[in-house]
Amino acid sequence: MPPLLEVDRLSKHFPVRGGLLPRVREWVRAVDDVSFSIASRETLGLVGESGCGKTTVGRTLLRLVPATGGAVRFQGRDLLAMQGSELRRARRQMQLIFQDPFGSLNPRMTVGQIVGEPLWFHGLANRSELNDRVTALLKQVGLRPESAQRYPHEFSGGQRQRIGIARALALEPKFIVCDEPTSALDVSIRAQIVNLLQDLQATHGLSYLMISHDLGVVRHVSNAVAVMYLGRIVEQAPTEALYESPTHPYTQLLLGAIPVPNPARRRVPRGTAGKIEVADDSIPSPINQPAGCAFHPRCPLYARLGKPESCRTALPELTPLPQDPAHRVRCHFPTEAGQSLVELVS
Amino acid sequence: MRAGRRVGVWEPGRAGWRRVRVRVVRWGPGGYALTQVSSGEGERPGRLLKPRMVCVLVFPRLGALRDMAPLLQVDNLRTWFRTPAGYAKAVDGVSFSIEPGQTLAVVGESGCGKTVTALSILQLISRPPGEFKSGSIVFEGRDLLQVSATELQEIRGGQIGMIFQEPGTSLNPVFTVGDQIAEAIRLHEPVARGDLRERVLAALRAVRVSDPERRIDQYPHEMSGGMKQRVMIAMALACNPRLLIADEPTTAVDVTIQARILELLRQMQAERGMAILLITHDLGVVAELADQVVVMYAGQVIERAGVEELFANPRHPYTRGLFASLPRVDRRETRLQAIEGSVPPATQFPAGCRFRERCPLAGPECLQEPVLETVEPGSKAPHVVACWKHKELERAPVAGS
Repeated sequence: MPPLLEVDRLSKHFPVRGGLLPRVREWVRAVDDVSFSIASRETLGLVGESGCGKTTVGRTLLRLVPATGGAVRFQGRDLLAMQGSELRRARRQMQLIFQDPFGSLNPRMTVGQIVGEPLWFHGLANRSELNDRVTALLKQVGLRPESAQRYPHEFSGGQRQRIGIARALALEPKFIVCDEPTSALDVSIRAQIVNLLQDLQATHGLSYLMISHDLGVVRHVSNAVAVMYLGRIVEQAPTEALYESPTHPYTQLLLGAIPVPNPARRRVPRGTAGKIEVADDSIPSPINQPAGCAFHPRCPLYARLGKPESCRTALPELTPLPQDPAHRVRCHFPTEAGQSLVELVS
Repeated sequence: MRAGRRVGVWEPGRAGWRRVRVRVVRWGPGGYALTQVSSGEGERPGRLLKPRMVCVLVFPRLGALRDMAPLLQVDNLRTWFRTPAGYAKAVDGVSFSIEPGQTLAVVGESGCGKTVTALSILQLISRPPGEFKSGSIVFEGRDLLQVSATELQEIRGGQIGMIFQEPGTSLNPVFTVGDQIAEAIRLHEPVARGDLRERVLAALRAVRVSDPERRIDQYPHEMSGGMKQRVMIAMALACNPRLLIADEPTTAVDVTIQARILELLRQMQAERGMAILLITHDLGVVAELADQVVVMYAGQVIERAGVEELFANPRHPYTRGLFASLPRVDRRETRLQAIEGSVPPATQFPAGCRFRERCPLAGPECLQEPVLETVEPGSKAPHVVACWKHKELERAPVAGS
């Protein structure tokens, strides 16, 4: 069975205009050569730091912004070539849940109007059916039917996120892009929303693209994970493989940076200062990407291997690991990188 | 010791004792203190000496007394806000203390009153609508709720530094970061203009900003989020505070930057011996940095303990719920155990235990307001919890661990 969604070498470059006579000076390579596929009822986690292009991937494959290159096949059909009514029908199948539960709901519309609007727009319900459908949708996401008459400002962040999810479910989609759905929420509410998304996946047979910088949430919900750095996927693997044996130095850095809620495992013992270093906290800009491997200026392995020339000059390909073909890494030295993990643990 | 205190100083190269104003940089053993001379006695106002480091004998050492007492003691603080719907009891009977050089973490979800607690300490609550209904905030022997406005100005940013969650909005976009750090210094210390730039550069170097000579003339928009947070820390630490209040210092930055900011705070604390009041909702950050932890819910302290004790043996159902609801990177659970419902608005806290409506253990006794009870005496800080049912949770395994 073909996967529900197949993304093949997708790229999105934004022009940067400037100068006296505005013309294109440079290109921001927000997404470059990104490929992945999502099977029905599965979740792909897409992680990376802010500015790495993960949100642009979601928006490009929903055709909210036009792609620069590549192909997206949804249910076997070329999504990027679709137009008119065909595109409108395809869009019913794919929805988006946003990060900011405050900015993504129109404050002048009641919850009933917000949740019912997609049904009305696509002509899927007449006036008498609409109320019943909205009531059913609100129940599915754990809100009371009376909420339909109220306005978004009367709800808390977690409840608003539920409203956003109800709106996304209205058209009974097959695929939902969740763009940081829990980042703006408190810990206890975050767990409620994660559980809700998982329940809905089971009952509605949904597929998710889970875009997040919260690696804990991503581990919890995803079947596979892709790590992005400066517009490119640097590592892609089934979830357990990625978290148990992260191979790209960037993935290792990212996972190592997360504080574990266990004081016995703090990285620096209490009362000591740890190492002192001068910090250049900047992530290179996606406009002037470093030549070769984009990560090499920050890469600990590059420094340890004595700054090999290949890292500076040649862009590594996303290559399967010999021991696990499903685990693909964009690094010239995957063996050495894998070994450095062993050193980190011991 | 307060800035501007007059002491006798013997300086090499000058004849005799002089009385000068000093600022203690660091206490040494036996009453010695490394200080910075900020101005000489009898000199005309406006003509200021160059700041320089000298070692002075301060006798008797006033700090010796203070080391017995906590640096900051908040006692039964009630900060309420008058609203059309009645009083919002944002902070309602909060007590805790911080020892010099220690890190106290205040944990809780949004709406639990942790930020209002921090703003109350600094007296940054606008009145009205805010009202201090009861309590005291004693910092180095003075009740901050009673001191004069001028004294407050000296303490704020001087002996108590602060950093906020959003470095982007806390910095003024129309001034260079150097100007902003310089302003923070000049408000608290008479530093000559010529020396100011050197002081600002030193402050930037202290927080390990790369290339400080270039950064000093940059505007906030030219910097990344992590670098802006470093500038905020440089500004907060420029006057060597005894206490740093950090309100969600890493919530707005990426994890890789967060790790470096935490490391920086740790280094600054080790170098200067300052105490940190860390406000956060991230239990990972707490485990990484804190010595003592206060868990707040709906304006009240519901549990307080040393960090190892709290993580090993959380005794309040809410604290347990927080731990159980965390998706973890180091292991995978089948399902997260969410706490049902949400924090009620501050005008509608239920009577009795404020958590009872969300609590799986709630019973009839929970209609009575629980008091903080000691469950584990502990050598330095006891483990206290405000729950009628905590005995039922005793040594029960924490869900998910």
